[in-house]
Amino acid sequence: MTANGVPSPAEITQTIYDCVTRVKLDLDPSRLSPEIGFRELGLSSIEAITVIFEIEETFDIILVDAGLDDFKNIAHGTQIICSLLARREAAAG
Amino acid sequence: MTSLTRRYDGSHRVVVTGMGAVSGFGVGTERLWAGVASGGSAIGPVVRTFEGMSVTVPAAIAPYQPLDHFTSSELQICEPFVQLGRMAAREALGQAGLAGDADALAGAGVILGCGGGGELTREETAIQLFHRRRPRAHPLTVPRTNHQAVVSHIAAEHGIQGPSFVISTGCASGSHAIAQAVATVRHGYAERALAGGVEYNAIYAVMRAFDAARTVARDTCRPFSAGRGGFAFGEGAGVLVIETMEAARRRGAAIHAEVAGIGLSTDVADPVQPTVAGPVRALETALADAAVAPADIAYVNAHGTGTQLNDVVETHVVKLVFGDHARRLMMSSTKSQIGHCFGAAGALELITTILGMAAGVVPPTANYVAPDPDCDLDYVIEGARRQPFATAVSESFAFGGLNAALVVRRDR
Repeated sequence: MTANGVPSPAEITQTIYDCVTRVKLDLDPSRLSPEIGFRELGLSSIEAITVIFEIEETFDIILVDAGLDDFKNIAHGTQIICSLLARREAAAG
Repeated sequence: MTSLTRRYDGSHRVVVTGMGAVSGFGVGTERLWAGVASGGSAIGPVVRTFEGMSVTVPAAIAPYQPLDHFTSSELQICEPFVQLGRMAAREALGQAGLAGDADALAGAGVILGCGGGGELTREETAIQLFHRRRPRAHPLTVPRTNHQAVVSHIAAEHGIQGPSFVISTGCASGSHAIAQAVATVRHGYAERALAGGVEYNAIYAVMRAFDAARTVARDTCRPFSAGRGGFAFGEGAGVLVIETMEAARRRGAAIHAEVAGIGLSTDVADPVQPTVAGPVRALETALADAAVAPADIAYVNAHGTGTQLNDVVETHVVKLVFGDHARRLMMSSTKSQIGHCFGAAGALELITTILGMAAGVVPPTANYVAPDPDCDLDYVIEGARRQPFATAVSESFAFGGLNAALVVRRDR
């Protein structure tokens, strides 16, 4: 957690990993890395959608309705979530 | 490829070669029958809570550990109603000697009754959207809650590629599904089918809904007894393997019973109150279909919900259909033992009837305390009765006035 209460990029990446393994129970966690995409991990379309849902629920953010749910890879996802959380923190003052 | 022999006159005789059950007595037909024969009841007080609110109703809950039967991945998409159906289907196919028989199953069908479908996920979705005010439902909400999930998962597990669908007519769903499956096999649209019903709805919202309709007993289900106060909830699944007698004999399968007659009818009267004429029509149609005389029916597995009105109406119906013979036949309510399993009720009750026929033991009515002058037939109140019987009928009546009767007889 950073000083202002926003999770660090490393924490966000770990949370995305957790969301993926929660949905894809038979996935070998050692395959997870910032560079890998959902498709390369073998997620079906419904599984990928479910991972995005889990991320939205965990961080209490909106990705789908904002058109931000098309992650190129996990690092890209971390980046999007980081900026959404920072923007929310700034708006909360 | 299963060969199809169409018979437009529906003259294939249809027999039961396997049965599977999950009920308040446990997993499997052996546990179901042991519980029924014991004369006891699986019904007890069941509490469901939501944020400090709670509701308690009498219910018979199926005791099983999902991880003993399914992988975690399967459990993510399979609601309990699907799990129960899959477990019963496995047992039924195993008993029929058809598990893994790809050729025999390719052209088969799966026709099941189910009243509510995925009630658990539906309740969770309502909490998510309206209580937590979140903008999105879980992405698996639709495939989890769809009624047809149960037949598609069973079909996929066993390679069953013929006609599969769900019939949803509330408390008569299971009997309607069996009747439809029998018609399908009689006419040769499939040589064999899995038929029956499933239900899982002992959850907060559904308990509240039925309680509000004042149909649920305070303590337990006491069919035909003075002091009865309604039904108890039940959950479970009953699945039968039915096939043409020809096919069963060809492969040397053990035959448990013949489904000799089906009768379906509609009350066209009241959304909730049963009529006498509707069930009479269903029963008479089933007897005519089976070409059996009323006096040949030794046992009636009643709808027997334990509500004030149902039990009086059903007693009257039986007197009208059977005349003087009504005083001689035996009639009991399995709902007194495993609760009202809604979409699974007709199937579990038919299975109980067939198991009783095989054992030469008549299933009892449990929880009876005292006579009601308006219910004056032989309800087998002393416990399971050792007495062979060869022909029986099982009845189901649903809200909306939808009725079904199924005649079964020991294989001859």
